[in-house]
Amino acid sequence: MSKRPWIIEELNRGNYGVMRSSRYGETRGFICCEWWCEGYWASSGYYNLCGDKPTRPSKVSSVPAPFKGLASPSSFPRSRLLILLWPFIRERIRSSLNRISANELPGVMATAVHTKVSTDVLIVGGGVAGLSVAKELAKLGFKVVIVEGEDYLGGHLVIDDTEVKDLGRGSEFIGKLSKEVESLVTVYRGVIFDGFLEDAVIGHSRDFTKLLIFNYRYLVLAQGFREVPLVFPGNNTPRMMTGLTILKFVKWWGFKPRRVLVWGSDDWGVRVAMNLAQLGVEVYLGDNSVTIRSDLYRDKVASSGIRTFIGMNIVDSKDTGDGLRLVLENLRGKKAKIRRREEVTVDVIVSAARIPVIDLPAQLNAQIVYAPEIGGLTPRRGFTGDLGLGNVYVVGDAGGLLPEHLIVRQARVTAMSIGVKEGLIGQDVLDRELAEFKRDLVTTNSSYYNVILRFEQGLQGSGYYAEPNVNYVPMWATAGTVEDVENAIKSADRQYLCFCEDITLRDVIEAIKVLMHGKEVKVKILHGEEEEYKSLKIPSMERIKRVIGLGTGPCQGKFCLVSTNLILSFIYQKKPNEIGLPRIRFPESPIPMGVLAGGE
Amino acid sequence: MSEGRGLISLSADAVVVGAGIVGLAVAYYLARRGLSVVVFDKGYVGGGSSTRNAGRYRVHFGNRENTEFAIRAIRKLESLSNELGWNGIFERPGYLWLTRRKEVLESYERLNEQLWKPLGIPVQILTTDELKDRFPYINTKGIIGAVFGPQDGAFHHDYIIMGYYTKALDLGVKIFEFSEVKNVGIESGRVVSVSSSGVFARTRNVVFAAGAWTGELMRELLGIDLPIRPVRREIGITEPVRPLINTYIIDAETNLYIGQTMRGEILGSIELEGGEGFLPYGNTLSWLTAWAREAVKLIPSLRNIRVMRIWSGYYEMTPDHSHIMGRLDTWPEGVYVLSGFSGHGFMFGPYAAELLVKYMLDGVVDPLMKPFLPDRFITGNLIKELLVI
Repeated sequence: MSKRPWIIEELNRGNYGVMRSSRYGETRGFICCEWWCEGYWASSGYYNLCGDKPTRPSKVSSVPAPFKGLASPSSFPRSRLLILLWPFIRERIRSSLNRISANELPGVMATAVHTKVSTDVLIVGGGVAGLSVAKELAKLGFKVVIVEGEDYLGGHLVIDDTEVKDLGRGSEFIGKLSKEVESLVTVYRGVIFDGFLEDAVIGHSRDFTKLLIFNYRYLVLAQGFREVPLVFPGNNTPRMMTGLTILKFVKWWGFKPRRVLVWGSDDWGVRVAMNLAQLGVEVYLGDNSVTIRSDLYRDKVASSGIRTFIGMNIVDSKDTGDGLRLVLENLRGKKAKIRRREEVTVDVIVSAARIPVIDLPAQLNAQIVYAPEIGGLTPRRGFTGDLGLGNVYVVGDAGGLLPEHLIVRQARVTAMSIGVKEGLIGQDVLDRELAEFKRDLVTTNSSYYNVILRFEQGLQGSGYYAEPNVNYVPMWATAGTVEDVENAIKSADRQYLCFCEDITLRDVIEAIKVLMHGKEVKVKILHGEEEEYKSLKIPSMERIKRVIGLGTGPCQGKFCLVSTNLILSFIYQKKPNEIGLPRIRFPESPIPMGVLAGGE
Repeated sequence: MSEGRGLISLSADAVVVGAGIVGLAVAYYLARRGLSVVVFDKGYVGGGSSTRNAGRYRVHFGNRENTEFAIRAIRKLESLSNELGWNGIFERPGYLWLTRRKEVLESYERLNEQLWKPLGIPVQILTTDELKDRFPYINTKGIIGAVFGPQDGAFHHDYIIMGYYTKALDLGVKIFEFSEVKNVGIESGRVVSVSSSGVFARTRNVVFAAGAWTGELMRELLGIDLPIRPVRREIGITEPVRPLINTYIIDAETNLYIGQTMRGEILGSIELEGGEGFLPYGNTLSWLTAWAREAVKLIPSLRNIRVMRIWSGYYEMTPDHSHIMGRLDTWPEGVYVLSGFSGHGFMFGPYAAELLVKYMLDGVVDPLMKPFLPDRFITGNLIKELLVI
């Protein structure tokens, strides 16, 4: 727990609009106080937003409403008027973007040091997965280093005071584990692992005093999950935040929201809602799934005093000053005849829609596969977490969302697998552990077992198992079923995908239209059985990126790339790998030039 | 022989190999003359060097041939926003060459008098005082003077690629992505077909515009040996900040270059030795730290700006660092090349494509095109670099 962030004062005063967006200059407040959001803040010139003394641009500007259409990422390059006026207005446009000036930037020490860190195993991420692997590896006698982006260990469980299956109270369990592991291994807190260069693997400290050059024999990626912004009309509201963020705000720093809607009803979403309810906050739990997604915690919702909006879409929203007024409607699926429409006003809408953090496997060109059972796009791996790259493993939610008690088991399998490779333990020991892990997978949810089995055997996308179409996109809160898509698209210009560059779903659809040479993609046709649908090829994300700049902001697509892929696959009923992801590039999070240059 | 093997069979007046800036421009200008055109690319549109470059153009070259070509090529380039209906985001912040040695500055002065001034594109030679005055953010330690080319500028490569792409489609050009050319059919000394993975095209003309891959491709498919070799270069971009660097800076001594995009990102690189061959699209710490070190030394206010993304791409180098366009009589009839731009393919491509199309359809060798014909590697009449650094 660090100092009380500046942001809390603002929020408690009712000022949620703490940021302005870079392009339109609108208040933009997806609030996220986690290490991976630094790039997003930087996109519009904000730094240390969640520290006690943030840096903010001294000057902000905004696009006047009549010109907003012209300025949109999809129409800006093609406007005849702008082309005509270009020589006269370009300087104006350049200086109207919300950026900070170089001399306002937080200073970087002139003495940043380059440090070499050598270890047997490097673990990226100090949450339940990373800590569990570290513990097992340390037991086997390995020298282990953990790199954690936050200045505390424990990941999401740190803040979770609910009962987690088999582990007891989340915060207590992880507190004990953190202490134990810290006495066994070396931990770098507040350090971001940036990724892979040809001649080095590096990271940097978030206070910008150090560049770390890693040397390891095995690498374990355990970055966990990431809650991404929800996509619904008016989601540029400054009243959205991640589940982890709101729990930290409320529990650590005295943020006092009255009414909160938590969107996303998997294990984590339910527990976020339960945590808030325990603290006396009026909590709603929403999701456009037909039932609460979480098998493990579904039954606890009713007794926690949480009201639910399950099986509903958010079809409209408006900030009323007093709160965010949301309009919800039930899914339009074929069987839904009765129309249910609800309105609710909340202080905050919480995104608990989470995705596995696949940045690093993607940087390594590991195969990324669609597996809806474990959270959408995940790296292909075997039961041991082996990515098939020689010495890289992925464990925990980063390799596909799993309940925590299974992650602990999985961590043991990964650690033992490394132990076998090093000849420290026999194959039979690993086999026994594997068998137990598989049994636990099957008894918890057999589809977890099936999906990892497919990965291990390389059957995904093969004749035995074709990658499915996307049936639902947890973060797209406006279209729960394919029948809802048409309706959802009507408000596409108010549904923001990219918060660094103000790119809406409408911009993406426009880009697709351009790339398909004006061929209007009618959702109605696509969902029919027509030949046209089958032969239609949707342009890849790589090309969409180059038309509207999706994913080119300083957050490097952490907010938008996976969501966009899944939403497009859902709209056009294509397999996610047909649309793909743009190449994920180094570094994981921006590094100041001064840190790279090093001290004299 | 290979007919029928492809999934799609069609015929076209011309096939263009490569869907980068050069290939798309050739396809578009051919189609504008009424030809039916098919384009093949082994990857996606613009996925080679066309969208990996720094997006800058200059008029000043170290020899007459390239400078004269550049003058016309830049005029063409700058007119593209109107022609294509996509905003090329053009601007002219100029190029600023920093010199640290007297001989180099004198060499620039000589070139200016003998070449650039007579052609109507004089550069300004700046003293260090003038440099400090106009570019106060530059640390002038060790710099003895600078050369400023005010005509030089910047563009947005993605939008221009999109412009050619959509214009070409408008005219019915068929573009096949992820369709690598596998065979060029020759009968009685002339091209009769081009087949790729997935497509068989009956045609009498094929233009190789495959950038860094052209040399390898023509050698494999036709046994034609053109000296085009790939050199990998790395490049990086920072988070955006308010306008800071108002020109494009090249340190002639350290080979550092740095500029700022319209969006505010600082973009640049340092050219180190090596990089020959089709190295993977990776990056190195040695390059990254060298770039950061020299950049911060030259512009101290960059210290706090964060590097957001780095990548790499290929230069398509020829022995005289100049492009190759046209054909040789010894080649099968119907084979043309437009490649080997050695780092200035985007700025030369559109104009070069127009000249090539004129050559293909009207048989006219434009005087500006003549020095760049492939016969110079047989006669030994290479283009000479006059600028000695």
